[in-house]
Amino acid sequence: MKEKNYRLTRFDSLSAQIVLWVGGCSLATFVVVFLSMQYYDLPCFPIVLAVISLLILLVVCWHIVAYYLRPLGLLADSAQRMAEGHHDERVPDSGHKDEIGQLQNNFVVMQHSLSDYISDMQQKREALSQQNEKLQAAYEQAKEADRVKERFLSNMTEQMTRSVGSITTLTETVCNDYKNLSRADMVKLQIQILNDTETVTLLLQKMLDAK
Amino acid sequence: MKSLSTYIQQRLTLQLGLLILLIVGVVFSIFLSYVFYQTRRYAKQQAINHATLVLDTTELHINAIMDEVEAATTSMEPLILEHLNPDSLLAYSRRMLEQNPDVLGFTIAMEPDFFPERGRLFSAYSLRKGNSIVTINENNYEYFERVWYKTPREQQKGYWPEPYIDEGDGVLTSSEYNYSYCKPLFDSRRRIIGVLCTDMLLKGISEAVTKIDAYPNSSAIMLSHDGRYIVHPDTAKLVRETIFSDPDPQAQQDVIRLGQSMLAGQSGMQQMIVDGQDAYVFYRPLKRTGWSIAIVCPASDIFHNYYQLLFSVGTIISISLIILLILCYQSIRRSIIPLNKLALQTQHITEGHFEEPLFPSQRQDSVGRLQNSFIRMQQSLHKHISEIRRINDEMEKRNQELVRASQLVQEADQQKTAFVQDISHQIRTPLNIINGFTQVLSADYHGIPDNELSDIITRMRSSAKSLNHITRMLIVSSTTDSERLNGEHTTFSCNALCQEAISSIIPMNPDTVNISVKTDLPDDFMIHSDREALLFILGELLNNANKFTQQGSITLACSQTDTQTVTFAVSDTGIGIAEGDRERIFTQFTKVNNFTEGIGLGLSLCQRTATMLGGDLVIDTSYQEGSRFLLTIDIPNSHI
Repeated sequence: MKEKNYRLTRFDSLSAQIVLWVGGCSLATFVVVFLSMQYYDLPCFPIVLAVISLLILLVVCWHIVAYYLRPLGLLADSAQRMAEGHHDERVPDSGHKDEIGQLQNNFVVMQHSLSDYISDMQQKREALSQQNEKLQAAYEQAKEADRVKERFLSNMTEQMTRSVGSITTLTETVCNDYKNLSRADMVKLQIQILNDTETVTLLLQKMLDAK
Repeated sequence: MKSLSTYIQQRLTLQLGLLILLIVGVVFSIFLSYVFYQTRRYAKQQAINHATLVLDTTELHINAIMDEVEAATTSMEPLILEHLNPDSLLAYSRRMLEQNPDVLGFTIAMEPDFFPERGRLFSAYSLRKGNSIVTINENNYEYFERVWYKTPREQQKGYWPEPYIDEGDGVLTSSEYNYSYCKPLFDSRRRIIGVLCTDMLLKGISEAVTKIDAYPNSSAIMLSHDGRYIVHPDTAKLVRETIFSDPDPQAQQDVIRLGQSMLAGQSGMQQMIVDGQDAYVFYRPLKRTGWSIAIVCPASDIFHNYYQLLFSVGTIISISLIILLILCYQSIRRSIIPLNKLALQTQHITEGHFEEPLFPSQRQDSVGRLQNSFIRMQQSLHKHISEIRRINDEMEKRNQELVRASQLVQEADQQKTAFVQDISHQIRTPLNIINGFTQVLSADYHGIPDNELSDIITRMRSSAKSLNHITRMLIVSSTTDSERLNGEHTTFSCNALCQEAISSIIPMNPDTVNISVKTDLPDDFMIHSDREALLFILGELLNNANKFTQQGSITLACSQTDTQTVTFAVSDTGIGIAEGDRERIFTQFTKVNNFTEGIGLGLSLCQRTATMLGGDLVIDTSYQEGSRFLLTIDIPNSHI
């Protein structure tokens, strides 16, 4: 309502129609009045006056229709800007209650709701993105820890394999030669096996502690 | 009233239509007011001209009548002067009436004592009575002081006295209103010797004036010197009433003003109310007598054409405005139909539906432009919002995947811990057996019977094998995926591998189960792969078969499927695997039967390892007699 610079140059079929109707009816009226004045033998009015009145009428009607349709242009511009990506576009409330006013008010409500919706979505997007970063970091960390642990286990396993190999070999020796070996040798073998067993148990304990 | 104004406020069509109507109406009114003002002035001027003309004509007419009377009177003068004797005067008086049928009466009144023989008074008077004429000498009628005798005598010229009714002072009286022309009679020495008086019926002039028909409803009046009505449409007012005795107090002032103007001998026009009607009175004096005539013209007559025009123009304008209203209403209504649809659409969008399609408008006006902009906006919004939604959905999915992956990593960690626990538990039994029996053997074994000794040896060897297997499992499982990919591959004989795998297991039912290797490959068929890993897989598969087979056979078959792959098949005649469990057995820590010993990690570890080696481990579902596992290994440029 406050903006006065509504466009008058834009062609509008409604304005044109209205102007056509007003012009036609007025012209017809003037002609009939003219003829009836002649019929009643009265002096006729100056044609110039009629033409001036007609012009004034047309201009005023054109302006009035343009004024009434101005919110439509406003809305069209706003919709166009929204189409171009300006989603926080705002149209002022209409003071009117007619169809155009209702449309404008609906439009205002829509713009508010849309803007809220879009900013909600964007907030959600940011939240998700932040969450994503955190999760990514946590995942990397977990993987890294896993890798460290794996390397540790691998290392322990390697050590254990040696001891187990030793035990297997010694056991085989015991099984094959227990009859030929001296008691002292047997005790030495037994102690070696025991030592290796302890090493294995220790390594396993380390691995268990490592979790 | 309030609801009506609300109704109009909610209807653009009515608002705009009525506003346009109002404006057109105002401009029409201004324009036509001017036109009608001019026309009315013109009509009035026309009326004045017309009335003036009529009055002129009437005056001429009256003058003609009076001229006639004067001429008739004057024509008698020479005869009378020639024969100045009472008898001839009587005769002339009579002849006057005979010659002029319009004349009502004629008097030749002589100066006192003009005919001494006839007494002091002599007046020869003739009067028309019906068709006959009566002529007498009114010698007992004192006429010297009468206006009709006295005034012309004093003025020494012809005189028209006020009209009167002769109420009969004289012998002969007329009962009708009449008027007279009186003229002094001069002798040859210009001495007044008498007065001639011609009486006329007022009817003559009255008719002439009444005949004036300036307008269909106009009427005429004529006033005498003192304001009495000489002619008036209401005959009751004639002579007796003056213009000043009008009883109507409303009209009085106007009438008095009119009377004064008329008696002052002015001519002009005055607007006033006559008989409750607006009227224009045109008046002018009659110069000869000093009387005044006026025409009363009702305004409705004067402005008859004007009013007719007003009426027809009013009708025309009403019709034209109604047509205009209808046309505008239709135009506006048609052009705002899409607006209601748009308003609904906007509401839809407000409620979150962006997809509702709208058809583009072909119209070039504001409404069409709005509709098309609106469609573009809707499409853009739809695109934008679904883009955001898509991104959000993807992000959400990725987050869920991350959570799951993190969970998997944690689970794997837990599994490793569980695995280590399991291993440390499993490894104790063979270690204890070995240590225990070594201690027994190193102490004193001579007291032990031979069969017991051989049992001890068998159990020690078996423990050593299971210790090896467990360690191998540990190696395979602890090898990281990357290490395994780049793991040390060696070239070795395929058949030797199979023999080693077979020898690594201790048959559980050596008497009822036949364990054998069936190979299609030559002994020098070499493959390049991770030997330890393959050994572990085959050992695990054979161990499983060993565990679940009570009798029959366990076969490790080895064949080349094509140039690129070698397949190891481990078949048994054991309890087999139920169809429902086939999927699950490759999952970590799944034991089909909880009571069976083992560390549930086996098969899944085998499958993972096989995949890492570029092969695959599957269950042969077509095999019915027990279970058969197929291990396929890629052998790129390997053999020999």
